[in-house]
Amino acid sequence: MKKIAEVALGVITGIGGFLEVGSLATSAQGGAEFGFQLGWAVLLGSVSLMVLMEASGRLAAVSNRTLVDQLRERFGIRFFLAPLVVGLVVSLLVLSSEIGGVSLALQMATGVRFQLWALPIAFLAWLLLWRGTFSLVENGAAMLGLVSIVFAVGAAALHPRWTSVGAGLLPTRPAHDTARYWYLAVSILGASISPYLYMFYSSGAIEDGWTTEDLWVNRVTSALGNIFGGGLALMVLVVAALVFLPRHIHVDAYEQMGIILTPALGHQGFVFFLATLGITCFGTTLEIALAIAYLLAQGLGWQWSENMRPSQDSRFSVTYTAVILLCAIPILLGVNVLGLTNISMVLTAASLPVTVVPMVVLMNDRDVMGKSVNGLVANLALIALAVMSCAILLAAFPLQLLGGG
Amino acid sequence: MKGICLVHDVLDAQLVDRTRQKMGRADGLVIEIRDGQPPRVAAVLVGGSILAERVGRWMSALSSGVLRILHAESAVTRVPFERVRVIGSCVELDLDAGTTNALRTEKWLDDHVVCRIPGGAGAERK
Amino acid sequence: MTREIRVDLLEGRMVRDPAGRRVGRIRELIAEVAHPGSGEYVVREFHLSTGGLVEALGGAHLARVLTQRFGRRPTGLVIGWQDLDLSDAARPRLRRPVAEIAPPAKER
Repeated sequence: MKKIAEVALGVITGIGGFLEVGSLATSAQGGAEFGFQLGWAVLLGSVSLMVLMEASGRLAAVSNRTLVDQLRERFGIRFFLAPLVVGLVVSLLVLSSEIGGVSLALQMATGVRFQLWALPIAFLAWLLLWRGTFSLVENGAAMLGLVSIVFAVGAAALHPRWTSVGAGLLPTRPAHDTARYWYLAVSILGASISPYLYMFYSSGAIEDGWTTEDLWVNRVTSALGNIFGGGLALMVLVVAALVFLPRHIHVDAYEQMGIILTPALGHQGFVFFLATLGITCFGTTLEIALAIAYLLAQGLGWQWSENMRPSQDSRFSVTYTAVILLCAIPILLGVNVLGLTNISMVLTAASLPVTVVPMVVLMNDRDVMGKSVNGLVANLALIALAVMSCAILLAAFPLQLLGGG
Repeated sequence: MKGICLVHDVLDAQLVDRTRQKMGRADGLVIEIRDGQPPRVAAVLVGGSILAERVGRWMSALSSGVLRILHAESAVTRVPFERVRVIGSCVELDLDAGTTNALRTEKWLDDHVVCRIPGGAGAERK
Repeated sequence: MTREIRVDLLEGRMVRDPAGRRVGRIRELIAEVAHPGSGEYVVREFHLSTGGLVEALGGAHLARVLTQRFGRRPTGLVIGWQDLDLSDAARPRLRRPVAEIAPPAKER
């Protein structure tokens, strides 16, 4: 019974925690410019994340070491520098975007400029990490994030042709602007398959004390959480396709997204959109700040746990404190949040090989995984992901130049 | 007789002390070359400058430069290999981490930053 | 006379034979207890990897995993401590030609 409750909580966390500034922006832009045609990118992103999260959760449960631990221990410091530096740079950019997302939500709600919200948001996020526990951070934010289900309600209220939505789940050639189409596809993939997500997930498995008895919890949680969460991102794309595309509205700023739910839900739609943007971005702010601290602490062997008092793991707690403050600064200075989000999503997608490729090796290492090494299906999925991630790396920068807008 | 793999099992492994407090990783390992005798495994090294040397000369130079700017000294912890008790998912050492340099930065941050912020100190778990 | 060498800096170094030909890179050091009951460990042997594309791409770790999973024929050389001259740690050399040293053993 307790395990079932744990699974249910894990699934809810997956759903409520899926949307954030990147997936909102990229799905909305995708829908606004290409209708349902980029649905396949959302689906591919969710399935890919499901594979990576399941693998990293299994790795942690079986070996009692996180993904970052294993990257350092199995590959040594010279290789580990790559995921460390790349992971840090990309995560810092995404963290700034998330703080920006909350700030913009508050600007739209109150009329007070978003720059002025950066420090109060950073302070609140820091306070919750300083005083809170891992389950408070992970579950609390995700529970509140269930407000994002409003996008499913909104999509249903707009009565889309579901067969057309379904057709969009298969890749098709765009009718126009091929470079922009593929740029948005890569951005959507980057928004879904963020390395901080599965690194955070494997740290969470250790924080929650998972063992080999929890392997099925891991499988169900990662599958259902990402399928349903990805479904919500798809609903954002559907709503954007039905609201923005007919009106030829290109999403160039978050403020334009404010009306996304009003045709379906009236004025309440605006309120729900702000709540979704603010809450999901705030939850992700907490996660990424912790993920950055986990990356450094685990890579360098410091004491770490969100369940410990800050003085028990000073380097870990000072790290998340410092990064939250650091990442609030660009927002304080008024940087274009949507522009920052777009760049960070493409960089995230391009950074995948440094973690995905070594994961193929780790998940086949009997010294690490024992009997739980990858089977044929898991290997095919992970290798396909590794190949896809290398292809994205090669394409990312040309696409940024040609289709970045 | 089954031996231990110094690179696979010890190098880069998580180090924990008697109380299972994490105290860094085995950033370096020292062997003592002796004439006519097998090399003796002398010590485990912990420290950023050790890591920097492994990355390359440029990293060593950068690390020394940063320390000079901060007027800080490089803290390398040398643990005699005889202190290694268990080699498993972590390397357990028969010592108290507080008696070494390994937690110097941790302690400094605790004394000068964390404990000055409300909620920083207290019982070990929240 | 004793000297200290860093294992982490020795790992990956190319070993040459007495004639100067490349033999392989140091990938592992196997240590064992010097005397039962003592806490002292001594190095018994060095494992050298003899290169190949897999090693170049993914290092010893990848090679070892492939050996485990797919029964790939292991490549490598096991050298007893007495056969490796570490007087110049940057340029380790075999004391005898490869042919006089034990045949390749299984990598771990």
